[in-house]
Amino acid sequence: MTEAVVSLLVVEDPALFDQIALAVPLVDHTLESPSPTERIVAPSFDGEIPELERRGLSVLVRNARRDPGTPTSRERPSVDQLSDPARRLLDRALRHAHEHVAIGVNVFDPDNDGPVIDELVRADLVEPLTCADDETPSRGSARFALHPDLPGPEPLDWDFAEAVMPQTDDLAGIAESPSSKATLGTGPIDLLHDVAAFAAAIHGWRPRRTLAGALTKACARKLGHRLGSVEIEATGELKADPRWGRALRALEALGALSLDAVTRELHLDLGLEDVLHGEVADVVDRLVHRLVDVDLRAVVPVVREGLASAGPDALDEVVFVDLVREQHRDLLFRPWIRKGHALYPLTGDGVIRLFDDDGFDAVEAPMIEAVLRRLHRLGIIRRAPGVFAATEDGRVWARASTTLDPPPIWISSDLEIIVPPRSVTPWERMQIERLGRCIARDVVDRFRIQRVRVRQWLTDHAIEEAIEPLRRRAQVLPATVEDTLSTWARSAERIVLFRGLVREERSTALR
Amino acid sequence: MGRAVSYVPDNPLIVQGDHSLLLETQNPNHDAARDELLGFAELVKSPEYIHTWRITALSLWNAAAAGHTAEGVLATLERWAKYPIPENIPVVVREHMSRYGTLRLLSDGSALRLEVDDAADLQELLALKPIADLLGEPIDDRGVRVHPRHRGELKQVLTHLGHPVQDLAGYADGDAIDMKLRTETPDGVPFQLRDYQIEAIDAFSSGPGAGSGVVVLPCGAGKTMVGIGAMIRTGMRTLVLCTGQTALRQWKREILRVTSLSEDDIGEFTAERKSLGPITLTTYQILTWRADRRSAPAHFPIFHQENWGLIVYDEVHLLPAPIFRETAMLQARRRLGLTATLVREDHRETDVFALVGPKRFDLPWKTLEHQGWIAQARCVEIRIPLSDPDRLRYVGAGSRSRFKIAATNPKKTALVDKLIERHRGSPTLVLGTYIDQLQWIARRFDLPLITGRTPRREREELYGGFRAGDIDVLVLSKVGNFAVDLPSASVAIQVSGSFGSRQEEAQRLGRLLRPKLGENQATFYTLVSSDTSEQEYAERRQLFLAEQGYPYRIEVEA
Repeated sequence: MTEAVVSLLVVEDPALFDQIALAVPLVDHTLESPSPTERIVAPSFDGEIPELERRGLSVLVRNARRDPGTPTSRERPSVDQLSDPARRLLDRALRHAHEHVAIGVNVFDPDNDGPVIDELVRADLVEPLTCADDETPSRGSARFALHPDLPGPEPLDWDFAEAVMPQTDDLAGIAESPSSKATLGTGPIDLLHDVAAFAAAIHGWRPRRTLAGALTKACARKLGHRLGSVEIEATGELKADPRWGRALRALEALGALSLDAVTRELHLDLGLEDVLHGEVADVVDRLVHRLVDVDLRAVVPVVREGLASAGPDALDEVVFVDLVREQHRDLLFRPWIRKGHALYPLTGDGVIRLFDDDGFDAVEAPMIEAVLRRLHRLGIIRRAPGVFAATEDGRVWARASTTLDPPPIWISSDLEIIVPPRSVTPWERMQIERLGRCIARDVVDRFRIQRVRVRQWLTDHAIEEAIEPLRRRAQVLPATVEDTLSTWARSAERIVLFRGLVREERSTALR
Repeated sequence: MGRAVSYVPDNPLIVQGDHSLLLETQNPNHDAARDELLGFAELVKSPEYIHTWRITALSLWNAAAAGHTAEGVLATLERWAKYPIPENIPVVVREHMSRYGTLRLLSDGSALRLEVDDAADLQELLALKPIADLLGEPIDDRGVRVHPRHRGELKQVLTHLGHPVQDLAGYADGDAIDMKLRTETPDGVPFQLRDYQIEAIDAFSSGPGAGSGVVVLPCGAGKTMVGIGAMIRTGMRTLVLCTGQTALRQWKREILRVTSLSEDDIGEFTAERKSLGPITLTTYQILTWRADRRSAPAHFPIFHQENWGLIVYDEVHLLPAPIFRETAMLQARRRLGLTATLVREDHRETDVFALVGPKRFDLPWKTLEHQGWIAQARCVEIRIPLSDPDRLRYVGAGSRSRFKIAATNPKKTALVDKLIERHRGSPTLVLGTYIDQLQWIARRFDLPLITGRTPRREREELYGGFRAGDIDVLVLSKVGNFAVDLPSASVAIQVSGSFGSRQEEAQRLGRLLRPKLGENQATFYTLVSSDTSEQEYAERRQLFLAEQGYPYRIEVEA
């Protein structure tokens, strides 16, 4: 059985095929007519779209989306049958994993945890990724792949009450909003919103980079126009507005942009939705995890827990580190027991270090300090000698914020959307920014919904997916706005071309 | 721009760094905030839920002219703001408002004196090249002589340079006239001015700089009455500049209806007649007429040959550029501008400020609607598909032809019938652009039709019949856009629209907004062929209506 890639042309009314045929040689491209309103056409039909556009017969092109319910999805694995040691080890592996891969040296003692590893491998929950030919999987394996559908690790219990203290004078004197040179110059929540805005601005086209790494002037101007940045639009230089350079770098750090080495075009990856989706606290957490070194990520939830305990107060840094050592000594490394002694994992360089308090001060304490430095730079915490506290964004991340309910957005019947600060999640911002052109970024941001942008939206979303967040967040969604969006959608969807469908030659089914 | 942190949800106002102000209409404090904003900001647009205002140099100068202070303005903003005021706003407000009043034009015998607050300001002034030829000799360290003939141009240039001039030099009195307001119209109906009309006249006639300025009132609010009231208050020979013949007739009708003047007291300076009287009505067109392109406008001398005490500029936002120049020479005369909007398509609002005068009074549409002075308007767009043969024609046509095919969709005719039937008995206007379409509708339903070719006498008869209630439905071409006073119309059906400007849209709606007996509601239908370029143009028109606060509904016909 062979497969062919075809397109499906669907019209609102059969009479439209007559109009199309009047404008272009439809019959030359038609492979089959499954119904009065459908034609299976060859990919060559794409070439007729500009002529149809010229004749007032706009074609909405949609690329086929994979149905989430395809046979490739796996059932969630069960951990109920595991022994307690196996479950603990699995939790540890999940805590240290990056993109479902855990490095063995952080997770287990190869001499003593062999049977447990074997149990996890037999249960199809872990898979060794590298293995010397003559060694069993439980030994010498540097990396393990974890089943992608495993639930998250059980959170560790922490008690940081002893470390909580009132804010010191020097800490209280540091501004909540991170605008010093020591930091990024913007908090993580605002950065995420900018990331969302930037992503929306480049959605549907591919800006090009010069060989020097900057965006081309033409692309920068177009980007500036979409972002509502007068400076960038005027100069053709992204650096004219540092905010957007930061957003671009953040998008790259999140792994959401890829560069085609040949065309030098930037592509937005679909995975951005995974980063930006959901509540703000969770989105910030994903950002933090992506921007902290892999080896240090296990510390991140600990700091988050500490900030949650502190709320509006501060934490004594020395006491905090001590509490980490006392409560979960093996947070970052599992000790290897050799000849009755607990050692740091042996790395083959001949250095043997005892897994004791001195070892903690030499190894883990600097790692915790590195995480605090990074969180300070990201705008999650403020620091003064010996003490740290959450910024406003840090409190949101730690879910220790006492802010009011988010303000509503306003939508007026002349198709303007007004977005106050912190009124929407980053993902909702991206959706709004895709629907309209930014006409002001100011105390509140203003957008004008545009038909051409809504049409672009419809290439990969239904109109209800645009209306629903507006309805949810707006004080009132004017009926005229909803009517206008629905009318534009109906008009755009009069003629739809679904591209990239696979047809099995012995069957009429399309997928 | 810093990101806002604190937030006061109960307040209705957002102050942006770009000088725009967003006012939440459903907030309980909206009315109080709006009444305060009126004094120093301009309403830019008023769709549902959020109104946009803007503070500009001009709006702040107008505020200063009306007696507001910078600290008062800032206190208002602080009082109502949801978020912290951007740092640049207090600087801008203080800077602009402090400028008004620092330059004053005063009478000094037969000449004028431009006076400043301190000597350094005078040196700065004398260094401005654009005004070098307009200034005379310095009188002392704070004043310089100005020839009266340069009064207007000097104010115009300085205002454009960001230095507004407070004109306190007074006016030459015109010939006195005896004109009184009636308490009863000739047909026995009691008459008096409305409160807001009296306030507008008071604002024009009193205070520093009184006797020059602009009154801003929506269509249908009775600006003509304000003009008449100002004439009476001034009590001097008056020249009224109208937008066209029909508007001129409307002015004449109203003057005769509500004042003690007779037909002989009203001159008409038009193409047909060149009579002058205590009140003289003329048009912008006749004043700017010239024999050929190289000649000067032939009738400008009218401005100077009579001893006018007051000049009234109706629809001052349409004041043609040549008349600005003549107005610059008329600064010794009292000047009143009347308009529904200060916004000009050519952006010469600053010239209106400098040469006609600052805004003296303003009242928004919605306030008048709530008070019942103008009708509540409903706007409905009805979308109708093209028939299959027409759709094929549309697809094969060029862009201009496509618009006409869409606009003259025959299916609209049946809809017109349906709407007329729906509103049977209500005075209805059917408006359109394409004469052949209107002729078809008029013949089909046996309706009277007025186009640009209809003789004036027949036009007046038909208008008169409509006003009197003898004619229920009147079909009008583009001529119906301009200054037609049809107070009893409560339904308008627009079968085809042109690529019109905001002013045309305002005027069309204004034709409906006179208060009506009974329900006091007006309905404005627009018929649009769906999925055509006509629909795209309709969407732009909808934006204007929404901006003015009129929600519109979309209906779809099968």
